[in-house]
Parts: sequence; C-alpha cells; structure tokens
Amino acid sequence: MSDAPDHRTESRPVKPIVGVFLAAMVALTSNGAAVSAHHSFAAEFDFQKPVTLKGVVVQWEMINPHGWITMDVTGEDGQTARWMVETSNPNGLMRLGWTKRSLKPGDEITVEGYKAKDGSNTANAATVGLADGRKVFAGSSGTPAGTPGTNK
Amino acid sequence: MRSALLAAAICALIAGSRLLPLSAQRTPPPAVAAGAGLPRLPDGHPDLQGLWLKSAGGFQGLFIGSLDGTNFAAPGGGRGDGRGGRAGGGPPAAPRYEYTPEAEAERQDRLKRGYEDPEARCHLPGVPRSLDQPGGLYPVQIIQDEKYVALLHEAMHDVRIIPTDNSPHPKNYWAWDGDSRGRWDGDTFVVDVSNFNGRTWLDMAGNFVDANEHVVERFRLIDRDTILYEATVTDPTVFVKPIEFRFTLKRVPTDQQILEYSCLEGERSLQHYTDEDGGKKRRAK
Amino acid sequence: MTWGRVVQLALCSATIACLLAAPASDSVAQNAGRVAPFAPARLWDGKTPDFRGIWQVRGSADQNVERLVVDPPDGKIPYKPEALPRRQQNYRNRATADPSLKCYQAGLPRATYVPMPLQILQSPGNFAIVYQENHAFRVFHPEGRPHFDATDWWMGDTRYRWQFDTLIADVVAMTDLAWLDQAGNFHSTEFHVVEKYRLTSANTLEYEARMEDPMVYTRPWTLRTTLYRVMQPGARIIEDECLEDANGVRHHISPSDPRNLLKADYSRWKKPAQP
Repeated sequence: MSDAPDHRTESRPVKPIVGVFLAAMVALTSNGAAVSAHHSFAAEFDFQKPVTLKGVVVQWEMINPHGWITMDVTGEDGQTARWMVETSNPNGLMRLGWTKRSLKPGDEITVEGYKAKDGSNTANAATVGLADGRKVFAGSSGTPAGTPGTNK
Repeated sequence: MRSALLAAAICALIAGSRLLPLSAQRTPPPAVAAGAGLPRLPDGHPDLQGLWLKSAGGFQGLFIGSLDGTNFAAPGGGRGDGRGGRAGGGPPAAPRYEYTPEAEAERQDRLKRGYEDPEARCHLPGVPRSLDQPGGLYPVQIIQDEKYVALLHEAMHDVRIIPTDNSPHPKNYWAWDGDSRGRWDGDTFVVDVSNFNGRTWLDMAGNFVDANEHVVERFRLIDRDTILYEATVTDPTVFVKPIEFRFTLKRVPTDQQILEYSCLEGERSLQHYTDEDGGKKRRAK
Repeated sequence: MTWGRVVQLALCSATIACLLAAPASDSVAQNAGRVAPFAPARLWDGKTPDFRGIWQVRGSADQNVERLVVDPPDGKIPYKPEALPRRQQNYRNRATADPSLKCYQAGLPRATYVPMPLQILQSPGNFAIVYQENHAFRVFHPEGRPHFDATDWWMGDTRYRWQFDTLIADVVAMTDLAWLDQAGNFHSTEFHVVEKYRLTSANTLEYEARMEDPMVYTRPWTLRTTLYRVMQPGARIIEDECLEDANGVRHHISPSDPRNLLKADYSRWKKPAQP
C-alpha cells in the first residue's frame, strides 16, 4: 500500500483507481468509519435499518456537501425502483482517490448502507461494491462504526 | 520596504508590550522554550502560515493522511464526537457546558431540532466552531503578513481576515463569525472576537450561544508543525462559566491542498429530516 | 484603549502607510529596461510584486459580461449555434434562475466583476483572493503540479506563475451550473480560463481573462477590466452571508442590518414544558 497513488502529486491521467480503492478499504477497516460532515447522520438516516441495494448506476454526482449516486434497483418481484444514495463529503472521498469519473452510468454496484428515516428511497452508503468484487468506502456523515453486511 | 517593515515591527512591539493589557481574562501561558527554531516572518512574529488540520479527536483523521490509511494526526483517542482528544501539547479539553437553567432548557429543545442547526443549512459555523470541525476532515489555510493573519477554512468556505493591530470592534455590525481583532502577545496570536449575530450553534448537538457571545482565542506555534489553539467562550446569558476549547492543529504535508467546499450549492439532506429532529417529513415505521 | 494608545497606533499606521506608499526605487531600476510601464512594490522577499489590498471593479459588467469583451472585436461571446438556446432560456429565466440570487458562489471570471470588493492576500509563495460575495475564496497554487480536477468546482482549480510582474493563472474544473453574469451567459464543464493580473499603477489592477470552451464557444474570447484599490481608511471585506426568509429563500443581508441580529428568544426559553 505504500505506493498508493496520490493523484494530486502525479501527472495526469490519474493512475488506475484500483490501488486507491484498496487503500480506501484499509482506511475503512483501520478506522471504523465514523466520519461526520456538516449535518447529523442520525437526523437523516436510521442505523437500525441497514439496507443492501444491488443495481445499476444512473448518475454519479460528486457534489458538496455530499455526493449522490442515483441508481436503479430491481427487486425480487422484478420491479425496478430508483434510489438516491448519499455518500460522504466529496472532499474526503477525493482525498481517498475518488473522482467524478469513479462511477459511470450503467456500472453495476452493490451499496451497503442505511435507509432514510423518512421512508423515501434514500440511503446512506457505507460501502460501494463494484462489479469486479472490490468494495470501497463511501462512508457518510456519521456512518456508524461497523458496516452492515460486512464481517466488521 | 525594509524600513516600513521595521516600523511595523516597532509598532507591534510597542503595541504588544506596553499598551495592551487588553484581556485580563487569562494569564499568559508559560513561555515556550524561547520559541527557538520556530519559523518567523521578518517582523519577528512566528510564521503560522501553511495548511493545518485539527488533530483527530474521535474521527481519527480518516480523510487526511497518506492513502495507506495511516494518520499523521497526533496519536490518542477522543470521545468520538470530534472534539477533545489527546492532541500533543496538552491534556484533553473537551468543553464542559454549564448553562443557566433557562438556557439549558433551550439547549435540550435544540437537541431535538437538528433541522435548525445553521451548519446543516450551510451557514457559517461561527467561532470557535469554524476551527472545531470534526478532527481530520477540513483543513484551514493560513496566510499571514505584518497586518493580517487570514484563516481560509475549507469548511463552508469560511474566511476570517484578522487584523493584527488590535483595532477596536466596530459598532452596528453583527456577523455569524463576529468581528475578530488580533494582537501578538509575545509569540502567541491573541484574537478578541465579538459582534456575533446570535445565530450560531457550537455543534450538531444543540450547544449554542447567543449574541452576547465573546471569544478570546490564542494561537501558539508550539513546534514547526503544531499550533496549539485555545478559545475561551463567555456568554453571560447562556453559560454560568466560561467554556474552554483546547486542541491542536497539525501541519498538513505540502503535497495536499485545500479544496472547495460549496455546501449551499448542493445541499439535499435536510429534506429527509423527520419530525423527530424538527424536519418536515414523518418518521417512517 | 487609552487615547495615548490611539494616537500612537494612528502615528504608527500613518508611518507605515507613508513608507509603503513611497515608490521602491530599487524596483524601478530593476524594471527600467522592460516593457512594463509600472514597477510595482515588492513583498519582503524583494521579488514578488505586491498586489495586496482591497480591490473592486467599477461599472455594471455583472449585468452583461459582453460589456467587457475585447476579443472578438465585435464584443460578442462566440457561441456555437447549438449553445444559443440555453443562453436565451437562461436570459428569460434570469429573475429566478441566476445562481447568484441563491447566494451561490459566483464562479469565474464573474467573481472578479460582481459589484463587490475582493481582497488579495499575499506573502512570498502564497497568493489567495477572498471575494466578499458569499465569502468565496481561491487559493492560487503554483504551477508545476497538475490541476486537481477530481470534480467540478464553483471557483475552479487555479495554478499560477509570474511572468515578470504579471500573474498568470490557469483555471479549470468548473461546474456548468455557474453563470457568467445576470444575463445568463454560460459555459460547460470544459471551461478553461487563463487570467492575467497586472498592476498598471499603485492603485489600479488590470484583469484580463481568456475563456475557451469547445462545447459552447466557436473560439476563445477575452475580457478585460480594471480593479481599483479601495482607499477608504479602515475598509475591510465584510461578512456576506444570506438569510432565509419565511419561505426558505435566501437573501443577502448586510451585517449592519439590525435584522441580521438575532435577539435571544427568551419567550421560548421561559415557555413551560409541554405536558
């Protein structure tokens, strides 16, 4: 991991994201993912309601104060529902190596996170699993330590 | 130019030594070992410039540091709420709030109205919340000359351009960040902050101040890579005794840069707040 | 504060002001052979031109940036035909759609010519601009490292260098949500701005910006304007933060407007607890 790229000091194009994502995972596992931003996690999301969303990326918006993944999730009944998934503050994710190019429409992902208290199709991502099996940290405002669906 | 700087230095010396027992609220800290080896500007004052990050309290500095997950912030844990922590330079100092009875009721009320936290609405955090951001998240860039120490905060793109001449606070001016006037007390940069507009909270947990808030901040470079930050917050209509903040800022390696944090432009979270936190949605069963 | 101290500080300030205002003769000599008609004062490193101060444009370019266009010669932004409909749509909706009305950061180069002052902060090796409007700021990073373009910013990512006494800044990674003026002139995320800052006298700072955007414009275009030093004694950048009205709409409010002061709501504090 010591050669994990820091793309602020590298020349473009940014190095492949693999190493960065792995590094992000180390950060997750070594630190427990309690990261807060400008608002309260508990006011928006319910950590008693973990959720796993498997679906297809419609849009990835790397905007402050939180990034948003729009994704279509097909349920067991074959119905497709659109979900909005909040990620951590982009500045933090960028410092872990994420960019606006990290997710593309059509990418198959699995999000593990927590549902919004208001019952809408909104969730907070703790991790994002990519099609090739890698799982990356996306922890958001105050994501509880320990990640749903993982062995932590 | 050189004579101008000399004049400035002389002025600062005069102002700092004889004329200014501005705040008798605190006794000066014990002198640092002569401050030897500290970077200094030509006017002789310690050079606070650079990119700085509050040492991790509860948040472990996750977002800064090398990408292998190591954390350059000072070792030691915190309480998990982003403040305090055994940052190098002193004992942990989580603020202890002692409210007047009326203010305590208000605080309990605000605890249930997170929807109204101004920072959740992307407003300026105020002082000292602008520096007391969750450890390891948002750095602050300091640029300094003989007339100003400027704090450019990543969080909320909050800015304080603090004059070093200890000039008086203005009249008829009420701001989220108040009005900051600084002076050098030896090697410590002391800032008197007044003229608050009474709208800020101190954290997400409903701790608050009103327009009677008054802050004395002390910035002291304790080694090349560490600023000890202390703030004393008084507010006679809210607290029965002053609130003390104390933590360190660690220098961020120069391969990192400050980024833009455009909160208001992309805020979408408040719409999901439920009535439990003062929001507009009902809590789903 | 005693009167003696006031007088002393005033004298100090006056002395400093006089000394700073005096032309630095060695700088003049250094630049005698160059094209630059004005040799600026230097920072304490003896080299870096000193642009510090509070500056502001005059005029109404924020209403329509085409008032500042010096290239092309017809003074029009060279839109691609397919980009014009969005410009017209923006114009029609300008009373509500201008991001500036929502208290968003102005973006570039608009932040320079909005009718609000800016302050240049500088020390050897450091250069930053604080814009009063919406307390936006830019930290200029030296060239030599690539742009940080992991996302689209409102104020872009800036890299700069000095060319003699002119600061040249290269700015990319800007959101397409920003407008260039109140008239709805716009750009895409491919927007690329090269700025030039040059002192033309002790109290005038020339600003030039060259814009290119292959998605929106047929060719690069250039604007030029002058920033004037704000000379009032004691002038400062003041806090510009918007307040929400009852409908949640934000409005700019001066810190000197008494409505910005929230008097403690003691009635709520004293309200008996609900059963």
